Amino acid sequence: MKNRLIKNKRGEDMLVDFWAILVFALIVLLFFILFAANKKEPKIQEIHAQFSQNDANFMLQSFLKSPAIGIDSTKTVFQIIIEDYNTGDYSRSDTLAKNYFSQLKKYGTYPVGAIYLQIDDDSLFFTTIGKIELHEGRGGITDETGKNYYSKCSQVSEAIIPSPGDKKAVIRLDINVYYDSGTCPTTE
Amino acid sequence: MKDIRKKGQVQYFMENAFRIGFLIVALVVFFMLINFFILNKIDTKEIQAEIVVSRILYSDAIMYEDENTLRVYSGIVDMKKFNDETINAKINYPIKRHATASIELIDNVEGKIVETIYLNKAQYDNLNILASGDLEGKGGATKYPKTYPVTYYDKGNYKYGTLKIIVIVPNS
Repeated sequence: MKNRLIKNKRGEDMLVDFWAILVFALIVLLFFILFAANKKEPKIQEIHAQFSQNDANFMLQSFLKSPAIGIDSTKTVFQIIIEDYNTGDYSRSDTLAKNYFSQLKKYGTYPVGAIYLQIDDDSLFFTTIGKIELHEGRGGITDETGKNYYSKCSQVSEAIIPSPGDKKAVIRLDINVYYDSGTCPTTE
Repeated sequence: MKDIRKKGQVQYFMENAFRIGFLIVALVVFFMLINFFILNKIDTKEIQAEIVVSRILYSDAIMYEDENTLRVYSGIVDMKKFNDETINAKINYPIKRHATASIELIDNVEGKIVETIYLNKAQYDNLNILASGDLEGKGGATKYPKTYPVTYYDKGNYKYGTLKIIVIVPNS
């Protein structure tokens, strides 16, 4: 019996088949991983990013057009910011922004970490951090429920405001949102 | 000399059974890969939700509209229109098994809910149970919460508030 097995060359064929199948299976597995990683998610991410951009635009535009409550309701926030820009004192704009964005604690289901409003010369005049209890967790930021957030993403919108001379100042709203996925939504 | 023993035929069959099995696996994999290429199922739930939200924010359904110029001031909520009747009249989908929404207005100073209205409330009540249960599949529903800071105009006064919109979209 033993001699018959040694003499039988069909065993070699099986061995060759085995390696061929193994290589084929690995290639198929590689294809699966590539397809699974790249197929539908980017499209959904792109849609998400585009609508996020719309949200930031809506928030900045409605803030600028809203009446300056508590300062002068006959004027818009936009007018107050221009006045502050010319004087260099942003205390009134700061108050208006704080009052306006005070309840924006979450963006969808994701916590808002900070909101920045700045003019093109990078003079930051409003920031709020830690609206939600966030602390460093294992591999990311953790909220009060223990949920982990791994990436901090920005929803940005810009608007041009007139300023003295030919210079055009750009006002920028930057909302930092913590996401539980590893990457930020992108339109690219 | 030709071997006519029956035992030999069984032996060849046993060897080929392995190859036939592999062929079946290869074919199954082949068809699965083709299915990866064909996109005949597109998940549009999030787009539906965003469209409903955009319609609420940018239309005259709840936002202030100048009577003379008919210009809509998106971002300024008119409390005279902030009720179920108006929003359901302004945003009326003929198909009732559509996306539904609850819109909650919170006062920024007091931090209290000023009012909550519903777009298609009967549908909202039904879908809210399904969405809250995290039921996946065609019979379920998905919640999409959104938050926007706004100004609201109530009895001649402007106030800062926040709109919390929860859109629920049926999975099928």
